[in-house]
Amino acid sequence: MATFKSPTATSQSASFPFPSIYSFPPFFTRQPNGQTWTSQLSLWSSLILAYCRYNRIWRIDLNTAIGWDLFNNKDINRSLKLETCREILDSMVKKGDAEWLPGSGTNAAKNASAIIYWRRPEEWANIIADWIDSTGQKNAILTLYEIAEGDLSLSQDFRGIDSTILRKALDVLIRRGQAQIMKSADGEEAGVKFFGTQ
Amino acid sequence: ICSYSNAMKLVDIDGLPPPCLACGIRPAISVIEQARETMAGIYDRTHIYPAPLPVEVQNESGFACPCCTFVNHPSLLQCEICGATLVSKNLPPTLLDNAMKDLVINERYSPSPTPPMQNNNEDIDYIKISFRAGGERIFLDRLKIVLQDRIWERKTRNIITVGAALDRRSNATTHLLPKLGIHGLEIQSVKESQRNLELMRSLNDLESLMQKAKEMVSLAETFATRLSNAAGVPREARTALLESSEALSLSSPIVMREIAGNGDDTFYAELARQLAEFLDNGVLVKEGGILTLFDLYALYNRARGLSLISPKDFYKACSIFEKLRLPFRLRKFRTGVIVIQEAYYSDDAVNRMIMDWIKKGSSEKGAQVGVTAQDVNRRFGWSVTIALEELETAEDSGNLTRDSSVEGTRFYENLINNFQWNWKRDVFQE
Repeated sequence: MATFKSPTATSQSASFPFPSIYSFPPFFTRQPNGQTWTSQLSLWSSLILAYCRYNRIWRIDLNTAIGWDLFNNKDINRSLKLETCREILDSMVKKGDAEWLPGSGTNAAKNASAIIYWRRPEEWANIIADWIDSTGQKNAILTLYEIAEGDLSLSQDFRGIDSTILRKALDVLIRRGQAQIMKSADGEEAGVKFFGTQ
Repeated sequence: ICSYSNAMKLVDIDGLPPPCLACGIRPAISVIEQARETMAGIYDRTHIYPAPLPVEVQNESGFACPCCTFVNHPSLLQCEICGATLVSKNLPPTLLDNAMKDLVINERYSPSPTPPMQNNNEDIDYIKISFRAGGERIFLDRLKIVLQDRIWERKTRNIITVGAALDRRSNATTHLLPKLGIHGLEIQSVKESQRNLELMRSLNDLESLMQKAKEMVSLAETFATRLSNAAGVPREARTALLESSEALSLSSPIVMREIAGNGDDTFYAELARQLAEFLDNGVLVKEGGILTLFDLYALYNRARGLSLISPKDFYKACSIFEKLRLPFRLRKFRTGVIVIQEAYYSDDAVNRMIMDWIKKGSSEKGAQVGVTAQDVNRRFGWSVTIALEELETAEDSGNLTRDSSVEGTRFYENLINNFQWNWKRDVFQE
């Protein structure tokens, strides 16, 4: 199984080209004006998606992510508040750009971490299907690990894909009849068989 | 028959016990008429009126002085010869007993209700004497003679009312009249007119005070002009004085409810006009063309100096600016702050002013600048409250965005609304 690695603030974003709005102090304040707030929301979700894709971040844990440079502009000494951040993620979840992971333990009530869909599961499904096609793995059985971390997927966009996202992408393929989950004798999901596109 | 209050008065003033309470009609009258009169006066008058004396008194042959045995006239309180206090032994026992025992009994002899006397002592300066069996003419004549003969140390107004006899038991009854009946009404009306007189006088005082205030204002103004003409006077002092006299005076007479008359509408209209004039006289310009309602209220009332107006009247006057086509408007911000501003200062105009200023600042600096309410206050001279309101109004319309940090809230031009960023293309070249 793929392990989820949380990126560290320093190593991840040194080169991420922040847009100029990132240096605009009011961008870090939740705007009271409804219209402005809507624009601000969409800008923030774009920024989060871009940042996560750039740094290949699959999940965001708010409590740690709030310290990332994504939400902290040290140059202008501004940072986004946690509740504003949560609000932004909420709106992203509504749009389908993210999904809250069920909380665990004491944090159950509060959504703390979310999957960021910088590509939607459908897109991933297409990409994986294309990859299967192009690499001639039709009718082959691959383990989930092979898809995410295997040698053949090294240069792929879905390299290191979060298992939850991968599962959702595969679900899309299964619904389309392009794949089938193979179960091992003890009932574990062992692999997936691709049928290719009709 | 002597009444309770007469006796008390006697005691109070002369420090004597009331020995002749029941029969001492004459002395009682004199005591009341002029309490400080010497005893001699009492003697004189006592002798003058023998004729209409009450029956009881006439029947008495007088009584002997316990000291010198001189037979005094029954109505005397003190011995004519030696001045010793007389004890009226010869009085009818019932009368004596009654008089000594309980003074309330007096009411038995005078059927008319007797009010509490203490309160009336000062108020009533006349006596009503009723004659049942005639004799009032003589009494009056004699009294007149006495009044002429005597030199009264103090002016006493004696109103002698001769009326029908009311009392059955005595020919002449002295009543300290209560404030009842026609006499009560008369007293009331006299008092009323006196009170009115007092009021008029005090009002006159007020007016003269206002006159003085106006003089003071004009004096301040002359000082100001003289100072401004004189050389070598520090400039600050000059302007300060000018300002103070400006603040002091209203060019037109103060609008007052009483003067305006003709109902409230006229009053409010007049007030509004004067307010407009007041604002026009540089007050609004000094405040940057916009002023909170309470600031104006304070300024205006300070200018009035006296006869301040109530906030309610003030607000009503301000709210009819528009109706009267005066060049000022009452404007209410979202948060409920009400300001007075010149009519052409619409939201848009103010918005434009702020935006132009911020944009100019940004282009000069080459970067986005944020402004605080304090900056706006410095730039436009508006109070901080108004500045904040204006900024928030601009924010509301989407022209400004805010940046809240530990340093406070700054307002920036709204770059967020129109910021276009295609991250897929810009970052990933898709």
